[in-house]
Amino acid sequence: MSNVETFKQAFREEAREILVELEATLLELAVDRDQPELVGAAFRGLHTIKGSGAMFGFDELAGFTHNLENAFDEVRNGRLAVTAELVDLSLAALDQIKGFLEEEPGGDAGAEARERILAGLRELGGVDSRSRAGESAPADAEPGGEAGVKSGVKSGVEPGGEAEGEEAVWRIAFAPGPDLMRDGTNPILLLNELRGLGEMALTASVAAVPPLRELDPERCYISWEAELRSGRGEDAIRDVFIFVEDQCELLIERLGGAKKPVSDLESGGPGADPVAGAVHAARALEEPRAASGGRRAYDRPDTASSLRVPAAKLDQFVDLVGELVTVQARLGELATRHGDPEMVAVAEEIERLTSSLRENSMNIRMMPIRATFERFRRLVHDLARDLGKSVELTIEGAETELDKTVIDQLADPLMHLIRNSMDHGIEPPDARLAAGKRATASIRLSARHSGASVLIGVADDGGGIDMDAVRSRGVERGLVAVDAQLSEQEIYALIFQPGFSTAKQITDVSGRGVGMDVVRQRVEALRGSIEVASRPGQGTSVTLRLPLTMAIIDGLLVTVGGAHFVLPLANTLECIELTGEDIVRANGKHVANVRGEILPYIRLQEHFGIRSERRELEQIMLVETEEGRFGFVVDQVLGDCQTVIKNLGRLYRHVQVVSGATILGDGTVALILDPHRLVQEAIRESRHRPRGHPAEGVGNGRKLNGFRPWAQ
Amino acid sequence: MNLAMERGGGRSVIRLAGEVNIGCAAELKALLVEVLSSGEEILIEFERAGAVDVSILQLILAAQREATQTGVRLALSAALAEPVARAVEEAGIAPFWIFDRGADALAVEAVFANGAERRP
Repeated sequence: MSNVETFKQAFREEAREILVELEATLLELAVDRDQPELVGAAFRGLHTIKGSGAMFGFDELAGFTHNLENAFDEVRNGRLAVTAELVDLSLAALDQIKGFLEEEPGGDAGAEARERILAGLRELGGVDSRSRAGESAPADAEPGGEAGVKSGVKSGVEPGGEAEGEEAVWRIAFAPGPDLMRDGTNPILLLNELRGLGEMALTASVAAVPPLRELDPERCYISWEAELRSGRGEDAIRDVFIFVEDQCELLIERLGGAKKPVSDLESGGPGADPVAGAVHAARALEEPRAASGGRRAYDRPDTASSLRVPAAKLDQFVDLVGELVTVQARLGELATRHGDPEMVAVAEEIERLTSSLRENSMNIRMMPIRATFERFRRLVHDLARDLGKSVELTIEGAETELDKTVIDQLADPLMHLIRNSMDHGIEPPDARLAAGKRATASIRLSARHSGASVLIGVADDGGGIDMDAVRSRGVERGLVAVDAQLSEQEIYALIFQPGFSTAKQITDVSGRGVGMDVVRQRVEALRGSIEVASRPGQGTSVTLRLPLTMAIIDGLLVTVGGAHFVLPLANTLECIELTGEDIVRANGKHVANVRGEILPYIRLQEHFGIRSERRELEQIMLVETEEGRFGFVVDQVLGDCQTVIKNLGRLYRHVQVVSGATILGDGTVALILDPHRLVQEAIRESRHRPRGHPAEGVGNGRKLNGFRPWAQ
Repeated sequence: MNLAMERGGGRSVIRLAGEVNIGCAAELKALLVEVLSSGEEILIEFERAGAVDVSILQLILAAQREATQTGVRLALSAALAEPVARAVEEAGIAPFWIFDRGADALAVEAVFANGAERRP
C-alpha cells in the first residue's frame, strides 16, 4: 500500500467512526431537539470530516459535507431550527458521505440523491443558495487555511457575521500537547488564525522549555495566553482549535464586554506575580475538562496502547490455543499414567499456563455489543418514519461483552426481530391510543450475562402475537393437525418455520415469511436458543440465549455406562450421591431430596438407552436450567476439563441435546451435553405421558439419532 | 540541506537556509549540542532562512539560555531574515529572543560573514 493509500485508509477508518457518532448524535437530536451540545458535536464531526477529507483528496466528499456543516453552523447560531426534516436530510446526507468514503458515490442516482438533499437543506434555509452538490469546498486541510474559509465561503451564509456579534474580550489559554507538532500542526498558524478574529494581545510562556540536551526537538514546550477582543462568538474561537482539540489543553473564557486595556493584560504574562501565574496555569489545565464535558485528550488511553488486528489473525490464534488445550489434556493424562512426580508437576504447570492463555485469548475476542445495538437506532428511526409509527428504542446492557464471532453473526437476526416487531407487533399510533396505550411505542434491546450464556432480548409493547391466527395459519399450511393440542411454546415455534407469515399484506419491511426462520437458523448455528413470550395487547419479547464463547468450554467429565460425557461447568451447581436406599425412599420416583428440597432428576443411562448394570452408588449432578434445578444421574464424575468444542457435523444437527463433541486426552470422544435441551426434552416427553415422570421409560437412544460413540 | 555548519578558528557558524522546520529540528539540536559542548563561539545565521516554526525557535531559545549559563558566546545574525523575524513576533516570544548581544556579537558576525562568503 502506498503512503498516500495508507493515509487515505486511516482517514476512512476515522471518518467511519465519526459517522457512527454523528448518526447517534443526530438520532438523539431527533428526540430532544433543544440540545446545543449535540448540535455543536454534529458540527464539529462534520467539520473534521470535511477538513480531513479535503486533506486526503476526497474533494467531492469535502464539498458535499461542507454544505451540511453550514446547515449545522446555522443551527448553532440559532438561525435554523432542528426539525425532523433536518434530521432526516442529515441522515440521508451521512449515507452519501459513506458512499464517498467507500468511493462508491452511486453514479447518477447518487448525484440526484445529493441534489435532493441539498435542495431540501436550501428549503430549510440551511445552505447557501449558490451551493451545488458537485462543488468542492476549498481545501482547508491545514488549520491555517481556516480563516480563508471563514471569510470566503461562509460569507454567503453568514452575512455580516462579524459585524453582528457583540464585541467581547476573551481569554484563551493554549498549551500544545506532546504530539501536536509531531502530528504536523504549526502552532503559529493557529495563533495567526486567532489573530484573524479580532484584536489580540499574545503572551508566550517559555518556562517549560527544558535545557537543550533534554529537549525533545519535536515537542512543543511553549504555551500561550491570548486576550482577544472579537465580535465572533466562542464557537468561532473554538473552531480555530478544532483539529487539535484532543492534542492540547485549551481554555476559552469570556472576560466580559469590558474594555480592559491591553497593557493591563500583559502584566498577567510570565513576568508577573508568580503565584497568580501558577494559579492561572493550573486553571488553564483544569477548566477545559469541566467546560467541554470532561473529554480531554489526556483522559483517553494513548492511541498507541491499542492496535487494530485483522480478525482472521485472531481466529487463527484462538484455533491454535484450542489445539494446545487438547494436547495439554493428553500430556496431563500421560503424566498421571506414568506417575512420575516431576512430569506431573510440569504437566500441571502447563495446564495452568494453558488455562490463562485460553482465558486471555478468549478475552481478546470479547467485544461489547454496543456497536451492534447502536446501529439499530437508525433502523428504528427510518422504519418508524416509513411505517408511520412512533417508536422509541431503549438499549440496556450495551457494555455486555460477547465473542466477536457471536456478535458478527447477531446483527442479521436482531434486524429481523426488530423489523418484525415494528411491522407486526407495534400498532399504528391511533390504534395504540384507542387501546389506552402511549402513542409512542417502545422497543427494548437488552443484553445480559447469565452463567455461560448471554441473553439478548428484543421486547416491544405492541399488540402481542395473535395465537389463533398463528395456529390457523399453521393448520392452513399443513404444519399442524386441525385437532392438535398445542402449547403456547409450540405455537410460537410455528413462527420460526420457513415461509411462515400471518401478515395480511406483504410490505417492504416484512411479511414475506423470510426472516424468522433465518433468525432461528442463525441462532442455532451459534448453539443458541430462542424463547418467545407474548401477551395479547401488551407486547412480545424474544430472547436469544447464546453461548459466551464458541470455541472452548469448561466442563465436568462424567461417565455413563462406560461412555464419557461433558457437562458444562457453568451450569453445574453441585454433585451429590444417589444410593439404592435413596431410590427406595423415593418410591422409585425420579426425585431426590436435597437438604429438604425435592428435585427431579434424569437418569442419563436410561435417557440415552445405554445398556449397562446399575451401580449401587451413583452421582447426581445438580444443574441450573431455565426450567429450574434438575439433576442428571451419572455413574461417575471424573473431574473438570477444558474442552475444545468440535462440531458434530451436519448429519447430527438435529441431535439437540448434544452441543458438540470433544476429544479426550486418551483420544476417545466425549459428547458435550446441553442441559437446557435435555431438560426441555424430558419435560416435553412427560407431557405426552401424563402419568409418568419426565425421564421415565424413555431410554431408547433415539434422541441421539443412533449416534452412540460408546457402543464400540 | 537547509542546515549547514562551518567550523574553524575556534568558531562555528550554523547557517539556516530556506524553510527550516520540525523536519530538521533533531538535526539542529544535534548541531547546537555539539558546538555548545565544544565551548567555541557560535553564530547562528538566518539571512537566507525562509519560514521557521516553533520547534526551531524553542531550540534556539534553549541554546541561548545554555550559552548564557555556560558563558559561551552565542550570537544570532542581526540581519534576521524577514520570515524568521515574523515567526518570532507571531509566536509572541520576542521578549525572550536575544537578537543581538552587543558589539561582540556583531564583530563575530562580521568575521564569520566574510569568511563564509569566501567559501564555494
